[in-house]
Amino acid sequence: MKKRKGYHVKSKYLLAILTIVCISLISLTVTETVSITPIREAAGVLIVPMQSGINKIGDWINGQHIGRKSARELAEENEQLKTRISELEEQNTVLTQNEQELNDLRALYNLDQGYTGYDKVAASVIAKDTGNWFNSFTIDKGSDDGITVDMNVISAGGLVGIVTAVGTNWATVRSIIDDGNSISGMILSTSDPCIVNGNMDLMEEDKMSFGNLTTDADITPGEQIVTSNISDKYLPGILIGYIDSIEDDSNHLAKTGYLIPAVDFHNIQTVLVIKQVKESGAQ
Amino acid sequence: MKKNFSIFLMIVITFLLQSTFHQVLPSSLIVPNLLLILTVSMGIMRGKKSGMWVGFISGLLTDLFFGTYFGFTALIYMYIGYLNGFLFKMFFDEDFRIPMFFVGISDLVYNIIFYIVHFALQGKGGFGKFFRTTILPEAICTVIFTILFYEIYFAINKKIHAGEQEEQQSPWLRR
Repeated sequence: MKKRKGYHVKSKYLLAILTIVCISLISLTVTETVSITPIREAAGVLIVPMQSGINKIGDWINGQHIGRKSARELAEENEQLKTRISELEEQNTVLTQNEQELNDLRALYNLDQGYTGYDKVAASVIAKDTGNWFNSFTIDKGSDDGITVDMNVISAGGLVGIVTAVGTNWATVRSIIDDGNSISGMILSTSDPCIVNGNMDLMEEDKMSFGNLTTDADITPGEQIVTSNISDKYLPGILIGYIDSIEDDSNHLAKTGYLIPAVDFHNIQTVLVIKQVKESGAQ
Repeated sequence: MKKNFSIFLMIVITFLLQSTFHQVLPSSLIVPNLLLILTVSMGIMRGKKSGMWVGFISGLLTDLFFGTYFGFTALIYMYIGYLNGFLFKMFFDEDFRIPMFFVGISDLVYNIIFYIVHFALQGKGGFGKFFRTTILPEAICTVIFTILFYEIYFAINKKIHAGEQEEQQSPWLRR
C-alpha cells in the first residue's frame, strides 16, 4: 500500500516536471533563444532512412500490378514507346533550334530566362505531416545537397511550396495550398498583380482563391497565374495555376476568383528544389 | 530496461507508419492519429506514468519533424496519456470499445486545442469549417483504426508484462 502511494506522488511530480520542460521548450524555441536544428538533424539522420524504406515498400506494393502484365503486353508497349521516342527526338531537335532563337531574342530584350535557368535538385517525397491540419511533407534531400530554408519547390512545372526546415539528408516543405498561405502573383499575359491564397475549404476541391486584382484587361478563365517579381520569398515567373473563375468585387474596384493549381497535390512523388533563394537572387 | 526499449520501439514504429501513411495507402485522404491511439492505449493498459511518458516522447517526435511550436504536441499528448491513465485497472480485457471512446474524445480535445493555438489565437475564425473538414473526419478515422491498433498494442503489452513479471520473480536479476 505504502509503495502504491509513493508511486502516485511520483507520477504527479513527474508530470509537473515534464510540464515545466515542455513549457520552457516552447518558450525557448518560440523566442528563438535556443535552436532545435541540431536535434532535428540528429533525429533526421536516424528516422529518414527508415521512412525511405517504408516508401520503397509502398512503391513495391503499388508497383505489383505491373509485374502481372504479360510479356506480350510489355513488348507492345515497348514498341509504342520506341516510336514515341523517335517522334520526340524529332520534336526535340526542332525545339532546340527554337530555344536557341528564343535565347537570342531574350538576350536582345534583356529578359530573365525564367526558372528554367536556375540550378535545381530533384528529391523524392518520403513522409507527410502526421496530422491533417497542414500540408507539409518531408523530402529525401537536405543541406548535403545544398538545400536551405526558403528555397522554392516545384513539380511538373508548377509551384509546390517552400522549404521550411532542413536537416543533413532531409528537408520539410510547406505546400502553397495550406490555409492562410498567401503568395503575391500576377496574370502572365497582362502582368497585373494579384494575391493568391490557400484555403482549407478550397483544399478539398483542389482550388485556391485569388484577389486584389485590379485590371482593365479582359481576363478569362484558363489564363495562367505566375509568381510575381515583388514576392518576398518566391522567385518570379513560376507557374501557380490556371484561372477557374473570375468575378468583380462587390465594390467593382478589384477582381477576385478561383484558380486550379498546376500541381496535383494529392499525388506528389518527386519534386525539384530550386537552389536559389529570393534574397540572394536580388543581390 | 528491456521494457523501456520495447515501448520506445513501438513509438518509433508508430511514428514511421503515421508519417508514411499517405505513401503506402495512396487513396486515403485523412490520416488517423496513430500516436494518439498508442498514447491512450498505453495510459489505459499501463497506467498514468507510462501514458505520460509515451505521450511525451510521441509528441516530441511529432514536434521535431512537423511542429510549429517545439514542445506543444508533447505537452498535450503527455496530459492525454496521464489522464487516460486514470482508467488503468478499471477494466482488463481486450475489449476495444472503451479505448475507442476515449481515443475519440482525446483526438477531439487535441485537435480543438490545436485549432485554438494555431488559428483562433492568431485571429483566424471559422471553427465550424475546420470542425467539419479536419477535426471530425480525423476523429472518426482514428476511432476506426483504434479497433486494429488497440488489439496489436494489447498483444504487445501482454508480452512486455509477462517479461516484467519474470524479472520480478527472480530477485537476483533485479536491477
